[in-house]
Amino acid sequence: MAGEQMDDAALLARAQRGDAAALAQVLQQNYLFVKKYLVRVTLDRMQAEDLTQETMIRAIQRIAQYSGRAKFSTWLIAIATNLYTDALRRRQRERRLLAGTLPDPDPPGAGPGAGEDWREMLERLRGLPRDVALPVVLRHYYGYAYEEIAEWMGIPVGTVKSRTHNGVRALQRGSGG
Amino acid sequence: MKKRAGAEPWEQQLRQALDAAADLGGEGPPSLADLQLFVVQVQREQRRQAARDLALFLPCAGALLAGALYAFYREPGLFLALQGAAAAALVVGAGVWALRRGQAA
Repeated sequence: MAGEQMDDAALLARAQRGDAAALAQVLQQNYLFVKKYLVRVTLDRMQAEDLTQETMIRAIQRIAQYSGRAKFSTWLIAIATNLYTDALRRRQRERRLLAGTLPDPDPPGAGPGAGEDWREMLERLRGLPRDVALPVVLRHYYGYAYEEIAEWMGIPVGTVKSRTHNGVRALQRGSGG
Repeated sequence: MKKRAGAEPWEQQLRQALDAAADLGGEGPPSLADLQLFVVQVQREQRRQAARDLALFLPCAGALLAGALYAFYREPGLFLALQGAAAAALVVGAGVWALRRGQAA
């Protein structure tokens, strides 16, 4: 395990020095992690694919800025969250301009489930505003701190806490939890 | 990633729901060769953009410097007063930014 960590650190160091092969390897290792994260927060497979691509581009452009303080996967999550938050704000502006109903995003395919409860939970999650669902997923699925979430979303910590609280209350209604 | 042990029923349902949603059905990441090509393309475009930015910046910076030198030569007192005002505005702006960032933390 220690040997693997050194290899990852050496790979990142080479990537930051401009080694394209090393950077490609690092991105390949984290690609599915980022994509699954984006599917979970967007609940829109197509949007998740687009955002994954944008996240990879931005990571390549800013690899020299990766400080190593947090895990590389966390750094990628921060980039992805930033991009998704920007997309949400643009979509909200567009909705106000269009003042009409946009079609619902394509729901992700339902994989094998243990029962019906998780499907109901998924519907409740889809019913949440996206900027409420995002901090709920980051906090209660991925376990990130409120301060991290606030920094990535570009909003105050208090707003993160209130959105998370409201989102959790909405999800708990009818779940028996 | 720091997954917490979600003890509450609703958290367990949330995990199940999100894991089901994120089931990519055996899909794998892009191949290493494709990713390496992608990295090279992005890096190349980044260098081109940096060169374009530099080509725009240098003449603008030169024009500003020439204007500042001319103004200093013609009206040194006024020029220094304006520089002092700009420096004060910069300090105030930095202070406000630091304060707002501190409040957000």
